[in-house]
Amino acid sequence: MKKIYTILLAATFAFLFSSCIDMMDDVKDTKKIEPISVSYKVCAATGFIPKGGTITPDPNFSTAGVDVVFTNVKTGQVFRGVTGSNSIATVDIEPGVYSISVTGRATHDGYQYFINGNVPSISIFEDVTPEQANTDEKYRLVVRPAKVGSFCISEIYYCGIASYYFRDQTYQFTNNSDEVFYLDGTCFAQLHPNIATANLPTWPDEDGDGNFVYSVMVWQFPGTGHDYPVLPGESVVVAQEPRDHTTNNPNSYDNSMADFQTWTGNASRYNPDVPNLTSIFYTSWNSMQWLTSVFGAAFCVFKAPEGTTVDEDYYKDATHYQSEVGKTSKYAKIPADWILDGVELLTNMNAMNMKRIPGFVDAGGTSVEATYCGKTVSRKVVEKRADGTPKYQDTNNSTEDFQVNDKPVIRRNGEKVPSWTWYK
Amino acid sequence: MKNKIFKIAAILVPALFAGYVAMAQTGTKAAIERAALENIWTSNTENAAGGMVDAPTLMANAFAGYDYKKGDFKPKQVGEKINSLVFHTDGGGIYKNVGNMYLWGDFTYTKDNIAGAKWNATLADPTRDMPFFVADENVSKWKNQTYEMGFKAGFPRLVNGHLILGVAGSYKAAIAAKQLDPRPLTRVSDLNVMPSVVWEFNPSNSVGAVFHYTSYREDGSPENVNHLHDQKGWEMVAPGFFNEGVLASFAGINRLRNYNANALGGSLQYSFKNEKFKALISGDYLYRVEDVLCNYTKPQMSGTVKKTVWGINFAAQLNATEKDRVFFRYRFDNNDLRGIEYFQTYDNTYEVQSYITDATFERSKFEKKNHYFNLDYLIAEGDAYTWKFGLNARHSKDKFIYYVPETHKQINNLFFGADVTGNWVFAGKHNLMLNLNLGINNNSKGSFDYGGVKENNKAFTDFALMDFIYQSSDYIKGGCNLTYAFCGIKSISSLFVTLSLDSVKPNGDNTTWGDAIKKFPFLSPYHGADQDKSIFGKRNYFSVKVGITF
Repeated sequence: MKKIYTILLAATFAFLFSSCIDMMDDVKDTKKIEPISVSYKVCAATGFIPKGGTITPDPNFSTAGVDVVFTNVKTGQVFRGVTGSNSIATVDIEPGVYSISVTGRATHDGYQYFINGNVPSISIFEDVTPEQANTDEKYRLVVRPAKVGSFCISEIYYCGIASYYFRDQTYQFTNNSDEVFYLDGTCFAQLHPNIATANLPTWPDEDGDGNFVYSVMVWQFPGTGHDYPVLPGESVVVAQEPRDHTTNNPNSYDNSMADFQTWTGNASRYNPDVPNLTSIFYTSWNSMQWLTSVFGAAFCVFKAPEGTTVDEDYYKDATHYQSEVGKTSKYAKIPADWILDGVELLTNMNAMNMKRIPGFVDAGGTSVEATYCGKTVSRKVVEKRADGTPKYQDTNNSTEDFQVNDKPVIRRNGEKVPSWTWYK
Repeated sequence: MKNKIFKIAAILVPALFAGYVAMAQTGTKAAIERAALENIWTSNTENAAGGMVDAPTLMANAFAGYDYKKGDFKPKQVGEKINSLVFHTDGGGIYKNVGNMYLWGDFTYTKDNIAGAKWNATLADPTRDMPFFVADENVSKWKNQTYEMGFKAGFPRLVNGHLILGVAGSYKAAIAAKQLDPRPLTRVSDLNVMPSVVWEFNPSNSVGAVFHYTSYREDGSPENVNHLHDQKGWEMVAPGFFNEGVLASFAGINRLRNYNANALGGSLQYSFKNEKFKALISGDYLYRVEDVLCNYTKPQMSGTVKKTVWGINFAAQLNATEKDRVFFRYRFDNNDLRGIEYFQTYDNTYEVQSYITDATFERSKFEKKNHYFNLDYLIAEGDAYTWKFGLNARHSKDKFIYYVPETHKQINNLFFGADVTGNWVFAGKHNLMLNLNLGINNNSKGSFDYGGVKENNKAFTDFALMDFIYQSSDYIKGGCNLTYAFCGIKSISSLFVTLSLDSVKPNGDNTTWGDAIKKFPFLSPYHGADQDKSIFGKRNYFSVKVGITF
């Protein structure tokens, strides 16, 4: 019996020591961190980008003079570089995990393009020379140029207000161009995943890389072509439940003048005066209300090119929705070049590595950094038109373009109300 | 005037009691203190076999106590007000009826009610050397309980009385519960095993060796009881370096911190003794690696701490006469702690779905060098003493480096202390012991060159910076300790009551923001408008213990 105890004791200590020695071995030769110099080449790619395959950048599309910003996702430290005539930016950084955003504009074939891209999380631990950047595809930042859009998301109130009131979520859109924009058939989509996460979904290879964004809910504005003109400086307001919310919660506000509501069938949450948007796709239906994450969801507005009709039937076609690898939930596929504008809302500004939408939709992210705080994000005004309506900053990077406001305001910067609205 | 009164009192009080001094009795608190000074192996080493060389007489004590600490001169993570209940017992010696073995054991139970602690939402003991934890800004209460127990055994001599084998062990279990969101329920277990050996060449010369193994576990995850109200959280990796986020019920930063440490080490000793003099010199080394995980189901590393400690000790006792005894102790230790950070990415491919380590770097270095000096003189009486006079000094040099972005912090302190203890016996069974102590700390260097980008974040301004100011403060410290023991109960040596009062007060440079800025100009952006505003008040300690010695 004594022998058994001795053997058991010896075995226990042998186990403890072996795990102890393993732990010590693992960190024995850990290297001291030192700054590194890295070069990345910004390339513009047009057309379909295959997954993991060779991307053929457009050699005639110059990306010189574009800002390349490396943000250390752990420390928040920002390192900036600008691409030279060889489209390469060189920056001295500390080794780490970075989100890289590319922001700039370029003119190509007579059109203005946003050269915006984002790599949400990339590990950089060694020097990268300009020569490597020029020859090795690993060190290319492939950007999908996006035509400068006219219709943008101008304010989002998503976080709710104390105590735990979220029925006043509101979205505002503005025609930021100098030409009339027709709202007819335009779609407003909430993107997947609902909450920012470092664990991004894996999509099937057939979709390639960054050719689509994926939506859990697509709302469509009414109209058949030219029924809903939005003049320059006019804005459109969409609310979860348009009403004077101060009657429910004195901390809230009045958004009863919203132009549209996103009603999902709850009779007690319905404002009969306000026209409904049509839901043409949804992953799962919530008949209580359309509640988007109070931590911050991601949204985009898009419009199909002429000749393509997007409606409920469109999303019944299996080629127009997609599921994550190994999962069954369906998400609407939205082609990248249909997108007019998008905004990434993060739980806080340190969560840039949790960006869920590609950089060509939004190269950055914005956040009110708390839930139920009553704050909103809105675009910064860069100038005013002669009629007093604002022109908003739109670099396709919401980190730069958006500001945080203490409370929501409908048409805060003097935007005009469209002529066709029900609310006069 | 006040000073004059103190001077007169300092001369008169011992004189008044002088007539009552009689032979101190066996097993009193003074006897236990003296035994600790004289038992050179058991007091200065982990070598349990050395207990056989010291051959202490049997002594034991047990007490229940109440401790109260209050004041803001403290690190931010430590409570501003702490009420503690303590039960402690220890004792042992040479047991003749167990083959002349040396046996010793101890047990301590502590229950702390802590109020006014900040910047910790993970660790049961935030002052332990652990840079990786989750912090919050809420002024919180904690309820902590700690059970500690230990033993030492020196076995009968072998090989003609030359060889002694020994083993020591200790185990600590603690539970710490924060009382405000985000609130962890942190559990700690700490096991130490120290087998040892002594070779006694002759009664004067001995050498010894100890092997040390530690297994430490700690686990805490700050959760919100109010799921509808999110809390801000900081994933700390070093002072001024962190990841700020939200601690929400189903999103936000990683809450869990699971600590798993192993340490291996050892020490070597040599001692010499004759009738008038004894001395011990020893060297020790400990290498400890502590992994910090922040997810169980998808194991993700928060960091690793690699700690190396080596030290040398010298202890000596000179018996100038039968009554006049002088004790000298010196220790130098070098603590080198490296913070290792991991770069991991989540591989979401269906077959993998786990974190992959892309790179591992040593990013921070914490170095502490300490010199400790103690010189005590006592006038022996029986197995205790009548008077004891002590001088002590400590020089510490703390350095912190964060390699990239380059950050340096250095704090050098020199502390001088003196104490006097009188021990009087009245009518053969009433024993009174009074200790007065005074100390002064001089900060000779303090610098903090922060290279990070979060100098306006609360976790820097209210935590890292305030702790720097605290650590680099000059201060004075004074206290007294009064013990009354009744020695007239047959079955025990004494029944005692001890009252202690101590106070620590910052002085000089860091008393107000204005003074601190004069000393550290880099603080000027942080002080706010009022330069006369005091930074720290004082901190007072009160304790009462009731116990027995036997």
